[in-house]
Amino acid sequence: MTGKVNREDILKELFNIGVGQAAGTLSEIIDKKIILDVPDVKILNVELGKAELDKFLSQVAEGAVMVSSISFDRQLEGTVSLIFPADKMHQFIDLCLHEDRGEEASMEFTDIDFDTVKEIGNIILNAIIGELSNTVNIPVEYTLPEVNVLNSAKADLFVSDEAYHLVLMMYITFNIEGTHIDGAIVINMTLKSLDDILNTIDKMYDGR
Amino acid sequence: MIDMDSFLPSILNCINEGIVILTEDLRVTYWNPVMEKLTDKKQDDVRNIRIEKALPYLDQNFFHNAVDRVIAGGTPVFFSAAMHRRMISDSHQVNLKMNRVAYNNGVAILLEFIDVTNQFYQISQLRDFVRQLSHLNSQLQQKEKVIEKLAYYDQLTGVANRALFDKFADKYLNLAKQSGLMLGLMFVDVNEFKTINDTYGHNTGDKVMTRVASLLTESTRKNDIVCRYGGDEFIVLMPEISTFNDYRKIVNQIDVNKKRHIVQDGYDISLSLSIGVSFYPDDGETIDELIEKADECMYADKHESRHG
Amino acid sequence: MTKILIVDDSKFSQKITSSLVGKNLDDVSFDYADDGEEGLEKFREIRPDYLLIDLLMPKLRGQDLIESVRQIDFDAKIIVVSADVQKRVRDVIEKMGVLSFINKPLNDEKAKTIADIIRKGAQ
Repeated sequence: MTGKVNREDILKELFNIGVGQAAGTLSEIIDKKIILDVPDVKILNVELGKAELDKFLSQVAEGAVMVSSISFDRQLEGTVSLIFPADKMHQFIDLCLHEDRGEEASMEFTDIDFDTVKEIGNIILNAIIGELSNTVNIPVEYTLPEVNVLNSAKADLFVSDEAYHLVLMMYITFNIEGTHIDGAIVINMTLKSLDDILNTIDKMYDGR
Repeated sequence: MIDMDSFLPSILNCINEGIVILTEDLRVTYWNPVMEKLTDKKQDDVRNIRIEKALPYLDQNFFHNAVDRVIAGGTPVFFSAAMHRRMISDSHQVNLKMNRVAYNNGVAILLEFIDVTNQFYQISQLRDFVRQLSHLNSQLQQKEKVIEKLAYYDQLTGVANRALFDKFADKYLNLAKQSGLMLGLMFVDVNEFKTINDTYGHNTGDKVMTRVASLLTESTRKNDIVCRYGGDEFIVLMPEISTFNDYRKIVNQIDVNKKRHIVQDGYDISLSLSIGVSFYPDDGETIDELIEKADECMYADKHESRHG
Repeated sequence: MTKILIVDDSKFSQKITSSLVGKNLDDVSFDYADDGEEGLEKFREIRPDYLLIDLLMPKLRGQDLIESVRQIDFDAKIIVVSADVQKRVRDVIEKMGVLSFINKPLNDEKAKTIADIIRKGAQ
């Protein structure tokens, strides 16, 4: 058989499929090709997860971010946040809307911008959580993402301090017509939820 | 108890959003009055037909995939007006929310169309304002430059006026104090300017004055400030002089032009300048002292040129 | 014996692909490469009958791997198994003359499709 299959690798493949589907949907809607980079998944305890996320927030986003997030409960419990640097979002939105606002790009985000990001967030988060839930056959319920702009974001906002929680971090890069947008997806879920997912996957593919 | 089933249509009729309910095979079973207004299509015209027939924009892959997900997993879906401009018509921009609702043993799909046309209108107005503002701003910046030119430069000769001289004099004096270098101040007077005016006319006199300003500017260094100080007087500020040699280079340049003939408006005019120089720190601690000292030297020079 | 080379940066995905496809075929052997570069090396070394190639990979992307393989053997039999479902990507890849473009995630039905293609080719 092939080498040892670790948990990160399994999740990475599942999220890759999710992100690939999201890119397919988005590409169809905006009628542009999207080049994706392979996201690597890190499974971290809360402390390490916060440190990793803070690094992203300060280095890539310089603190100002646009976040779409959803919470889910029932069989699986946790929150998912899709985080993009705020300064790149005007460009990202312009590319999606076939607009070029040039100087006016320094304007604050409008309700229309928020709605656009809400749709993008919905597409990506649906694909990721949907793929996960499909694969393990555990239904997940959640609402539409909430979109916020945060000027000095800290990891505490996305990662709860509760015991038995884990942080899944992955970085995704969209490249649309030469413009790179580096985002992060942070999943904060209970250890039990992750165990349920991985155990189900093990059962499905073991013994073959 | 109220029987909700019979109550529901009248509730939905009151809601101020476009509401559509679809069966699992995507046929329209309910289409509220707001929806009729938004689309110009009556409920009776669309009932029982598939939603892509009623709203042709939705006949796309991404919509069908989304519907499949809503039905299978109950995942909510959001389509924004910005990314889907022509979702229901050319005149109305709407956001669409799509949710699964349980219905007896099956499921139905609830579509909410939220009219955001006004937002688009307001934001495009706002953008226009921003554009106008940035246009005004650049005009203002150009005007500021003109005003600055008027405020700090002599209108006739184009060299610095006394206001700019005052600004630079203090700055250069402080720099000299900090660096320990000398600051030179040269007082220049055009001899017999009144006679030139009387003989050749004011118009030609003005032009001669402009020639003198140009001569001084050409003879000095880049950071030296040539200033028209009074009717026929100029002052040149010479910062960062470390040796008298530096100074001599400048003076030699000017000396060439100190006594000469120029041709202006067809007249052969003999031009002569009187020059006096002072230095910080040797000749004074303040600008006033330096001016006074240079003025004295200039008069001595003038006297010499008359009698020498 | 039909030799199949699976090029995929996910070991998990390699395992799923080989087990699902292997279940539907007799007398096959699988080799694996974890990225495009390794895929090219193994292709030179093993000369597999079929390549199953993922597109989103580090080092050498699937698309570039297909081009490089084509330069070595224009008739190489390639099946793309990818999570990239964009129509624009698919159009480009299909013009490169691959046998099929299969969307991940792989399931029994899709694995049968792959097995059928391979079986037909072997006859």
